[in-house]
Amino acid sequence: MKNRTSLVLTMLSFACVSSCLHAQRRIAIPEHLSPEAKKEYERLASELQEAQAESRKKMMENARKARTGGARTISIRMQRSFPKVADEFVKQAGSFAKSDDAIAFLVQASRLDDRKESVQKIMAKLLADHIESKRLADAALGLPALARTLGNDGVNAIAAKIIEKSPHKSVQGAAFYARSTLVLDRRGNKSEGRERAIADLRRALKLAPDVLPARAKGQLYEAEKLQVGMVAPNIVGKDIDDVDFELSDYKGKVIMLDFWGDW
Amino acid sequence: MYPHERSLVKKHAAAPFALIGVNSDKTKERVRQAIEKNGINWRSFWQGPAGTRGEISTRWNVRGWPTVVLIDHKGVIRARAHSLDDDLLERLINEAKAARN
Repeated sequence: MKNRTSLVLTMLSFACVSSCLHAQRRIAIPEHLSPEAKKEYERLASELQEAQAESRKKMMENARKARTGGARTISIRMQRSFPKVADEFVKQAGSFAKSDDAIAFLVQASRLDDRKESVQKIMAKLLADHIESKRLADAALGLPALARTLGNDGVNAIAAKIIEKSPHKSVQGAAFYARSTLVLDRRGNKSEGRERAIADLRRALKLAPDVLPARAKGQLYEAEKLQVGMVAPNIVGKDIDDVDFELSDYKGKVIMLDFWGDW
Repeated sequence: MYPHERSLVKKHAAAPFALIGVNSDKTKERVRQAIEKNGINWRSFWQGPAGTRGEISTRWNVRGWPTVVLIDHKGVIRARAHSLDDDLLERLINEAKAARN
């Protein structure tokens, strides 16, 4: 799981994964855009969607070739960077100048680019022109994904600046959250950074409860209660026949807790 | 995954072992179908129409499926991964058996 961009497919799951890949990918249009900005954003989003579809087609083609070539496992790499489209987003950000609309374009551009220098530029622009905006929270929340281009240090430096300079609690909280996620999402990580990351996450939940994604509480719960070596917390729920039961009903047994779905 | 899980449940029927599912299908019909079609022989929590964003998987911060958590007979979490560590499971069951004797 070190390289999160690569997926290893077994033959059995091939059909499932390929159908999932085809099904997903509607690019979300940010709320809060002005009507003109929305129009432009939608145009670029469909451009991006086309580029993604093209790259996905190539990827599945390669996987199919490998499979007919007799490979038992197939490693595929999903392309996440579309620098040309990123440039388009940056350009459009320029036409909405210093308004909040520009933030949405710049945030999307930062995600699509894999050139370190241009991502650095985009982030510098966000900090320079939009530090007073509440919507900068969107940029802060997107920070963990930028670690692949800027490195953890690069991301941490930006988070620190946002925490220091933003006048809004919600934006600061989002930056605390980004900083903590960077550490906590690396499962099995026992580095000294964990303590601070947990403190950051607690602080984020206090400062920006409405801005953080729903899983923030789960991240804290996992960090504090679900680590290997800890006593598993109870689960109380209902089975498929609506019968109440609990994990603790199976006390004394080895439990294989299996999160599954038939999709 | 189903055939392997099915055989685990059978193999360890007499052992201090339980496979407990947390299902993330959005409708009961879907789960029932899956149970019937695949001969699923273990009990699952059902999280309702929220599916993958159901209460239990959200609280446990599960973001990839399947996620398998192994808990030993003392209730201690011993592993969490997207696949089952068969050797570890065997070891844990042996530990549990030894503790009973």
